[in-house]
Amino acid sequence: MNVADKKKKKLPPQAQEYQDFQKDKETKRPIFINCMKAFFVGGLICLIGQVISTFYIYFFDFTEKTAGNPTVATLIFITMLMTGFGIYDHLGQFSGAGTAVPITGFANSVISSAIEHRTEGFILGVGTNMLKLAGPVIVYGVFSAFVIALIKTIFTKWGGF
Amino acid sequence: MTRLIIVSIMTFVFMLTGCNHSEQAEDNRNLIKLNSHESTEQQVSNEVKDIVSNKQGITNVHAVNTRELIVVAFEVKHFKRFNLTSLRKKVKEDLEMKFPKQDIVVSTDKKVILELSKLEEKLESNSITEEKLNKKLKEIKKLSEEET
Repeated sequence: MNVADKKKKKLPPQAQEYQDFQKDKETKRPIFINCMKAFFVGGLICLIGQVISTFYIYFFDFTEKTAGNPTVATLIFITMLMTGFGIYDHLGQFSGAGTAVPITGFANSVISSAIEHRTEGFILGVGTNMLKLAGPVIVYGVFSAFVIALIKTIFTKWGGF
Repeated sequence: MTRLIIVSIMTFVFMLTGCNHSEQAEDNRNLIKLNSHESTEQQVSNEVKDIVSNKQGITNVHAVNTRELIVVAFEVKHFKRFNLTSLRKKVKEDLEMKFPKQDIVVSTDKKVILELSKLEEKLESNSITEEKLNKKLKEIKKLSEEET
C-alpha cells in the first residue's frame, strides 16, 4: 500500500466517495499510445543517426568505431537549430521520452536552458543555468557507468567470461 | 484507439516476420576470386577466402594481400554479431597458424570491407601497381587499428 492510499483511508467517507468518482471520470493516460509514439520517434532519430554515420563511413575516412563522434556532433548541431527555431519543443510534446532519451534530448535540454536564461547575462545566466537539467544526466550517467564497469570487472575477472 | 492498437500490433508482427525472413535466408556468398598477376599476386588471399568463408555464420569475405601483409574483412549473419569479437579472434588465430610469415589484419568494420572491395575491383581490372597496392593496404591497416 503506497502513501497516497494510506492518506486516503484517513479521509472522511464523503471525500473518499468523491475521490472514487473523480478517478472514474478523469481522462486516462494513454500509456500504450505514448509508448508507441516514443518508440517510433526515438527510432526515427536513431535511424537518422545511422544514416549520418553511414554517410561519414562511405564518404570520409571514418570507420565504424570513429564515425560515432562526428555523428553525435552532427545530431547535436541539428538539434541546436531545431531547438532555436522551436521545432524540437513540438516534437518533444508529441513523443515524450522518444525525444528525451537519445543524445538529441540531452542537447535540447542544454540549449533550451541557455536560451531561457540568456537575459540574465552570459556568466550568471547562461553559464550557471545551462547544465541545470543536464547536470543530473552527467552525474548519474557517470555513476551508472562506474557501477556497470564494476559488474563487468567482477564478471570478467572472477567469472572467467 | 482500437484501430491504433491493431495497427501497432500489425507493425510489430511485420517487423518480427521481417527478422525471421532474414534469418532463414540462404547465405549467398559471392567471393571474388582474383586473378593472379605477377606483381600483385593474390593466391594467398584466395586461400584465405576459402578458409574464412567455410566458417559458420560468415556471409561474405574480402581479402587482399601483399608479400608481408594480409588484410581480411568479413561480414557475418546479423544474429552472429554478438560473437563478433570471438569470431575475429578465432579467424585471426587460424590464419596466423596457416600463414605464419605474413602480418595478418582481421576486421569486421564496414569501412575496411568497403575499401577492400574497392581494392579487389582494381586488382581484378589490373589497374593498380604493386607500389600503390602496398601503400593502400598499409592505409587500410592503419584505418582498422584506429581508436576513437
